[in-house]
Amino acid sequence: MVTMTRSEIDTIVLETFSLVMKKAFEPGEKVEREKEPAWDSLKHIELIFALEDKFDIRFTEDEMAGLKTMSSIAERIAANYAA
Amino acid sequence: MQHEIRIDGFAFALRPVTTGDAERIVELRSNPQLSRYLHPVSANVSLQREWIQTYFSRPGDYYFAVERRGHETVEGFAGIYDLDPERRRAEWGRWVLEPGSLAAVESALLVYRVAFEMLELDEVYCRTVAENRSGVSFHDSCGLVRSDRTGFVELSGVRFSFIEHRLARGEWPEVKARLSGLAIRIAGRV
Repeated sequence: MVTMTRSEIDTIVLETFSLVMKKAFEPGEKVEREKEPAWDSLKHIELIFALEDKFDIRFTEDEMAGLKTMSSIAERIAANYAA
Repeated sequence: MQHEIRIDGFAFALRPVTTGDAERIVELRSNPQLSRYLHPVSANVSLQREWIQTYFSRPGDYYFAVERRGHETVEGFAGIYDLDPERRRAEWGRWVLEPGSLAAVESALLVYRVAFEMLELDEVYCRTVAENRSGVSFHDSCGLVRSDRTGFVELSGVRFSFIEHRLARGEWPEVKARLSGLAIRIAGRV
Protein backbone atom coordinates (compact mmCIF):
# COMPACT_ATOMS: atom_id res chain seq x y z
CA MET A 1 0.00 0.00 0.00
CA VAL A 2 1.14 3.53 -0.76
CA THR A 3 2.16 5.36 2.38
CA MET A 4 0.54 8.66 3.17
CA THR A 5 1.01 11.10 6.00
CA ARG A 6 -1.94 12.33 8.08
CA SER A 7 -1.39 15.78 6.61
CA GLU A 8 -1.66 14.41 3.08
CA ILE A 9 -4.81 12.52 4.04
CA ASP A 10 -6.34 15.63 5.58
CA THR A 11 -5.57 17.62 2.45
CA ILE A 12 -7.17 15.09 0.12
CA VAL A 13 -10.22 14.76 2.37
CA LEU A 14 -10.60 18.54 2.46
CA GLU A 15 -10.29 18.81 -1.33
CA THR A 16 -12.84 16.04 -1.80
CA PHE A 17 -15.29 17.68 0.57
CA SER A 18 -14.96 20.99 -1.27
CA LEU A 19 -15.39 19.31 -4.64
CA VAL A 20 -18.47 17.27 -3.69
CA MET A 21 -20.18 19.99 -1.66
CA LYS A 22 -19.25 22.64 -4.26
CA LYS A 23 -18.06 24.83 -1.42
CA ALA A 24 -14.61 25.84 -0.19
CA PHE A 25 -13.65 24.54 3.25
CA GLU A 26 -10.63 25.76 5.17
CA PRO A 27 -7.93 23.46 6.60
CA GLY A 28 -8.84 22.61 10.18
CA GLU A 29 -12.44 23.73 9.72
CA LYS A 30 -14.90 21.75 11.80
CA VAL A 31 -17.40 20.31 9.33
CA GLU A 32 -20.36 18.39 10.77
CA ARG A 33 -23.13 16.73 8.80
CA GLU A 34 -25.78 18.02 11.20
CA LYS A 35 -24.67 21.61 10.74
CA GLU A 36 -23.59 21.73 7.10
CA PRO A 37 -26.65 22.19 4.86
CA ALA A 38 -24.81 21.13 1.71
CA TRP A 39 -24.01 17.76 3.30
CA ASP A 40 -27.30 16.16 2.29
CA SER A 41 -28.05 12.45 1.89
CA LEU A 42 -27.08 12.38 -1.77
CA LYS A 43 -23.87 14.33 -1.31
CA HIS A 44 -23.00 12.06 1.62
CA ILE A 45 -23.08 9.05 -0.68
CA GLU A 46 -21.11 10.88 -3.39
CA LEU A 47 -18.57 11.91 -0.78
CA ILE A 48 -18.13 8.40 0.58
CA PHE A 49 -17.67 6.90 -2.89
CA ALA A 50 -15.29 9.68 -3.97
CA LEU A 51 -13.13 9.06 -0.90
CA GLU A 52 -13.21 5.31 -1.46
CA ASP A 53 -11.93 5.84 -4.98
CA LYS A 54 -9.22 8.28 -3.94
CA PHE A 55 -7.91 6.19 -1.06
CA ASP A 56 -8.69 2.76 -2.47
CA ILE A 57 -10.62 1.78 0.64
CA ARG A 58 -14.11 0.52 1.35
CA PHE A 59 -16.35 1.84 4.11
CA THR A 60 -18.76 -0.58 5.75
CA GLU A 61 -22.48 0.13 5.71
CA ASP A 62 -22.34 1.12 9.38
CA GLU A 63 -19.50 3.52 8.65
CA MET A 64 -21.36 4.99 5.69
CA ALA A 65 -24.25 5.75 8.01
CA GLY A 66 -22.23 6.74 11.03
CA LEU A 67 -19.43 8.99 9.77
CA LYS A 68 -20.76 12.47 10.42
CA THR A 69 -17.78 14.79 10.63
CA MET A 70 -14.91 15.55 8.28
CA SER A 71 -12.41 14.84 11.04
CA SER A 72 -13.88 11.41 11.86
CA ILE A 73 -13.76 10.48 8.19
CA ALA A 74 -10.11 11.53 7.98
CA GLU A 75 -9.35 9.55 11.14
CA ARG A 76 -11.06 6.47 9.72
CA ILE A 77 -9.01 6.74 6.54
CA ALA A 78 -5.78 7.32 8.49
CA ALA A 79 -6.50 4.23 10.60
CA ASN A 80 -6.78 2.22 7.40
CA TYR A 81 -3.38 3.42 6.27
CA ALA A 82 -1.84 2.67 9.66
CA ALA A 83 -3.24 -0.86 9.69
CA MET B 1 -55.97 4.79 -2.12
CA GLN B 2 -55.70 1.07 -1.83
CA HIS B 3 -53.32 0.44 -4.70
CA GLU B 4 -51.22 -2.53 -5.76
CA ILE B 5 -48.10 -0.82 -7.04
CA ARG B 6 -44.91 -2.57 -6.09
CA ILE B 7 -41.55 -1.67 -7.54
CA ASP B 8 -38.17 -3.24 -6.95
CA GLY B 9 -34.98 -1.25 -7.11
CA PHE B 10 -31.38 -2.38 -6.75
CA ALA B 11 -31.36 -2.65 -2.95
CA PHE B 12 -34.71 -1.25 -1.88
CA ALA B 13 -38.32 -1.59 -2.94
CA LEU B 14 -41.60 0.23 -2.57
CA ARG B 15 -44.77 -1.64 -1.66
CA PRO B 16 -48.26 -0.44 -0.75
CA VAL B 17 -48.78 0.69 2.82
CA THR B 18 -51.17 -1.52 4.80
CA THR B 19 -52.86 -1.05 8.15
CA GLY B 20 -50.13 -3.34 9.50
CA ASP B 21 -47.66 -0.48 8.94
CA ALA B 22 -49.44 1.82 11.40
CA GLU B 23 -47.09 1.09 14.29
CA ARG B 24 -43.95 1.63 12.19
CA ILE B 25 -45.35 4.88 10.75
CA VAL B 26 -46.08 6.16 14.24
CA GLU B 27 -42.63 5.06 15.43
CA LEU B 28 -40.80 6.91 12.67
CA ARG B 29 -43.02 9.97 12.48
CA SER B 30 -42.92 10.38 16.25
CA ASN B 31 -39.12 10.35 16.33
CA PRO B 32 -38.16 13.96 17.18
CA GLN B 33 -35.04 13.63 15.03
CA LEU B 34 -37.19 12.88 11.98
CA SER B 35 -40.48 14.62 12.57
CA ARG B 36 -39.44 18.23 12.96
CA TYR B 37 -40.49 19.17 9.45
CA LEU B 38 -43.35 16.68 8.97
CA HIS B 39 -47.03 17.05 9.63
CA PRO B 40 -47.52 15.64 13.13
CA VAL B 41 -49.27 12.30 13.56
CA SER B 42 -50.99 10.97 16.61
CA ALA B 43 -48.90 8.63 18.72
CA ASN B 44 -51.96 6.42 18.88
CA VAL B 45 -51.49 3.40 16.57
CA SER B 46 -55.27 2.80 16.37
CA LEU B 47 -55.78 6.34 15.07
CA GLN B 48 -53.04 5.78 12.51
CA ARG B 49 -54.80 2.60 11.40
CA GLU B 50 -57.99 4.63 10.99
CA TRP B 51 -56.08 7.24 8.99
CA ILE B 52 -54.81 4.49 6.67
CA GLN B 53 -58.35 3.14 6.27
CA THR B 54 -59.53 6.61 5.23
CA TYR B 55 -56.54 6.95 2.90
CA PHE B 56 -57.56 3.68 1.20
CA SER B 57 -60.64 5.39 -0.21
CA ARG B 58 -58.87 8.62 -1.23
CA PRO B 59 -58.24 8.73 -5.00
CA GLY B 60 -54.93 9.94 -6.37
CA ASP B 61 -53.06 9.06 -3.21
CA TYR B 62 -50.36 6.38 -3.27
CA TYR B 63 -48.62 5.66 0.03
CA PHE B 64 -45.60 3.32 0.09
CA ALA B 65 -43.43 1.51 2.56
CA VAL B 66 -39.71 1.55 1.72
CA GLU B 67 -38.34 -1.94 2.22
CA ARG B 68 -34.89 -3.37 2.03
CA ARG B 69 -35.05 -6.07 -0.65
CA GLY B 70 -34.67 -9.62 0.55
CA HIS B 71 -35.23 -8.66 4.17
CA GLU B 72 -38.67 -7.06 4.07
CA THR B 73 -37.40 -4.65 6.68
CA VAL B 74 -39.31 -1.37 6.51
CA GLU B 75 -36.82 1.50 6.55
CA GLY B 76 -39.30 4.26 5.82
CA PHE B 77 -42.28 5.59 3.95
CA ALA B 78 -43.05 7.91 1.03
CA GLY B 79 -46.12 8.95 -0.88
CA ILE B 80 -47.40 10.41 -4.13
CA TYR B 81 -50.63 12.35 -3.61
CA ASP B 82 -52.86 15.20 -4.74
CA LEU B 83 -52.68 13.75 -8.22
CA ASP B 84 -54.27 16.06 -10.76
CA PRO B 85 -55.47 13.75 -13.55
CA GLU B 86 -55.95 16.58 -16.02
CA ARG B 87 -52.54 18.17 -15.59
CA ARG B 88 -50.87 14.79 -15.02
CA ARG B 89 -48.98 16.05 -12.00
CA ALA B 90 -48.78 15.14 -8.33
CA GLU B 91 -46.91 16.00 -5.18
CA TRP B 92 -44.59 13.57 -3.46
CA GLY B 93 -43.72 13.59 0.18
CA ARG B 94 -44.62 11.99 3.52
CA TRP B 95 -41.02 10.90 3.19
CA VAL B 96 -39.42 9.57 6.31
CA LEU B 97 -36.51 7.13 6.69
CA GLU B 98 -35.04 5.64 9.81
CA PRO B 99 -31.86 7.37 10.99
CA GLY B 100 -28.80 6.04 9.20
CA SER B 101 -30.78 4.43 6.40
CA LEU B 102 -29.03 4.36 3.03
CA ALA B 103 -32.38 4.29 1.23
CA ALA B 104 -32.67 8.03 0.55
CA VAL B 105 -31.32 8.06 -2.99
CA GLU B 106 -33.03 4.88 -4.13
CA SER B 107 -36.38 5.58 -2.47
CA ALA B 108 -36.49 8.94 -4.26
CA LEU B 109 -35.54 7.19 -7.51
CA LEU B 110 -38.33 4.63 -7.03
CA VAL B 111 -40.90 7.33 -6.28
CA TYR B 112 -39.98 9.03 -9.57
CA ARG B 113 -40.09 5.71 -11.43
CA VAL B 114 -43.60 5.13 -10.13
CA ALA B 115 -44.62 8.67 -11.03
CA PHE B 116 -43.23 8.77 -14.56
CA GLU B 117 -43.14 5.13 -15.65
CA MET B 118 -46.17 3.62 -13.93
CA LEU B 119 -48.58 6.49 -13.28
CA GLU B 120 -47.32 8.21 -16.46
CA LEU B 121 -47.32 11.66 -14.90
CA ASP B 122 -45.84 14.66 -16.69
CA GLU B 123 -44.58 16.41 -13.56
CA VAL B 124 -43.88 15.73 -9.92
CA TYR B 125 -43.29 18.39 -7.30
CA CYS B 126 -42.30 18.34 -3.67
CA ARG B 127 -42.43 20.99 -0.99
CA THR B 128 -39.76 21.17 1.66
CA VAL B 129 -39.69 23.44 4.69
CA ALA B 130 -37.04 26.06 3.85
CA GLU B 131 -35.51 25.69 7.30
CA ASN B 132 -34.83 22.03 6.47
CA ARG B 133 -31.76 23.06 4.53
CA SER B 134 -30.29 19.59 4.02
CA GLY B 135 -33.70 18.43 2.74
CA VAL B 136 -33.79 21.31 0.29
CA SER B 137 -30.20 20.57 -0.68
CA PHE B 138 -31.08 16.91 -1.35
CA HIS B 139 -33.61 17.87 -4.01
CA ASP B 140 -31.15 20.37 -5.51
CA SER B 141 -28.51 17.63 -5.57
CA CYS B 142 -30.89 15.26 -7.36
CA GLY B 143 -31.10 17.81 -10.15
CA LEU B 144 -34.62 19.09 -9.51
CA VAL B 145 -35.51 22.65 -10.40
CA ARG B 146 -36.77 25.07 -7.77
CA SER B 147 -40.08 26.51 -8.87
CA ASP B 148 -41.13 30.12 -8.40
CA ARG B 149 -43.93 29.01 -6.14
CA THR B 150 -43.40 29.51 -2.43
CA GLY B 151 -45.82 29.49 0.45
CA PHE B 152 -46.30 28.52 4.03
CA VAL B 153 -47.10 25.36 5.88
CA GLU B 154 -48.18 25.07 9.50
CA LEU B 155 -46.60 22.25 11.50
CA SER B 156 -47.57 21.77 15.15
CA GLY B 157 -48.79 25.36 15.28
CA VAL B 158 -45.61 26.84 13.82
CA ARG B 159 -45.66 28.52 10.42
CA PHE B 160 -42.82 27.61 8.07
CA SER B 161 -42.12 28.77 4.54
CA PHE B 162 -41.57 26.02 1.99
CA ILE B 163 -39.52 25.65 -1.16
CA GLU B 164 -41.05 23.80 -4.08
CA HIS B 165 -38.95 21.64 -6.40
CA ARG B 166 -40.26 20.28 -9.67
CA LEU B 167 -39.26 17.45 -11.93
CA ALA B 168 -40.79 17.39 -15.40
CA ARG B 169 -40.92 14.34 -17.64
CA GLY B 170 -38.33 15.85 -19.99
CA GLU B 171 -35.79 16.17 -17.18
CA TRP B 172 -36.49 12.73 -15.76
CA PRO B 173 -33.97 10.72 -17.86
CA GLU B 174 -31.07 12.82 -16.63
CA VAL B 175 -32.17 12.60 -12.98
CA LYS B 176 -32.82 8.87 -13.38
CA ALA B 177 -29.31 8.28 -14.70
CA ARG B 178 -27.77 10.27 -11.85
CA LEU B 179 -29.74 8.55 -9.09
CA SER B 180 -29.45 5.08 -10.65
CA GLY B 181 -25.67 5.30 -10.79
CA LEU B 182 -25.52 6.00 -7.07
CA ALA B 183 -28.23 3.46 -6.20
CA ILE B 184 -26.38 0.68 -8.02
CA ARG B 185 -23.24 1.41 -6.06
CA ILE B 186 -25.13 1.59 -2.75
CA ALA B 187 -26.71 -1.78 -3.55
CA GLY B 188 -23.25 -3.30 -3.64
CA ARG B 189 -22.85 -2.32 -0.03
CA VAL B 190 -26.13 -3.22 1.67
